[in-house]
Amino acid sequence: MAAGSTYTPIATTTLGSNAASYTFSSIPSTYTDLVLIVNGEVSSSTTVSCQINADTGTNYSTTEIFSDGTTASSFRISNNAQIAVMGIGAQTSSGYPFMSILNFQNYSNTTTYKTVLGRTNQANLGVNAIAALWRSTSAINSIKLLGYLGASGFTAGTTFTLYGITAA
Amino acid sequence: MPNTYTLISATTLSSSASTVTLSSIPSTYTDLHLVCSLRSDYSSATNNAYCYFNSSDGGTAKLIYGNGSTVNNININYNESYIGGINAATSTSNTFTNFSLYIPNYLSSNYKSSSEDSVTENNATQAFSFLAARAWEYTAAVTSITFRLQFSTYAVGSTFYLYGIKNS
Repeated sequence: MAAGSTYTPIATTTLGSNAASYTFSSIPSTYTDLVLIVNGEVSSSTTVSCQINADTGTNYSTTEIFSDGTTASSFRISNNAQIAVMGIGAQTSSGYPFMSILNFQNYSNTTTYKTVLGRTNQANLGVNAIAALWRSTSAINSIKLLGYLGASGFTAGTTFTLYGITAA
Repeated sequence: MPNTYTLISATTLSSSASTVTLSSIPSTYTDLHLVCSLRSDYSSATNNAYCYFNSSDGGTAKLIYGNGSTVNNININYNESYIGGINAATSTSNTFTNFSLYIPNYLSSNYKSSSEDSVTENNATQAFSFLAARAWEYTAAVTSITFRLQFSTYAVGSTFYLYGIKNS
């Protein structure tokens, strides 16, 4: 019997104009894991952040390792209102884009809290890896990416793509 | 639906090679994912490796790496495509470096951002884990990927698997 597709694009968008945030909604529960890819720029320096299922409560924690090429650092924030993906520097359209890969394993189960593993890069600013937790046993059905501290968020041309991975 | 995650090329070295080029990358995908298993014939525990696009040997990058005792940082401005130290001849036998490189939007007319992770394991003191944020400061589409070394050659058995990922 032929197997179904293992790695499936769920949704993708390219911003036509600047946006403070972007939300993947109505995420089907039929996959095992999710992979979210973001590639683009921000119009003012900001901390790109992530919220799940429109939860704005202090139900997130993040542990990060980061290097700016000169100094390594690590931080942890608990009981936060979002996952801190990475601080991103503002760039022009011909500057250095950032990219982020966020992995949401076992996202649709209703038994465990949800963990996120992330890698984010902006070559003229730094490299990071995060491990994050959303303290909810709910299945993930929406993911919002936003610029937290900055005002302008993501610039036109930024792409957001969500893939589903099926284990069997 | 067409395959989302497709093998573009698979290379396994049957003889040592000073450089390996994956060429004629088609323009039919959205992102590229390169997964490699690397070892060098150089008579040391590690050898410095480099990876660049379209014969343009350079780029800007921030790297962080640990060796089990300390964390180190590398800042590269425009001029080098260094990806880290890989297993070489005097490292633990049968041990190859795992290297993963992800390029979103490799056809974009913006600079290309890539995310790189590698592990150079060794049953001794000289072992490393690298994370890198890299930008290739060209607006052309990526059509080839080249690996080279500081010294000597890539060893027999080194593998290079290039996958194309399509977002729709």
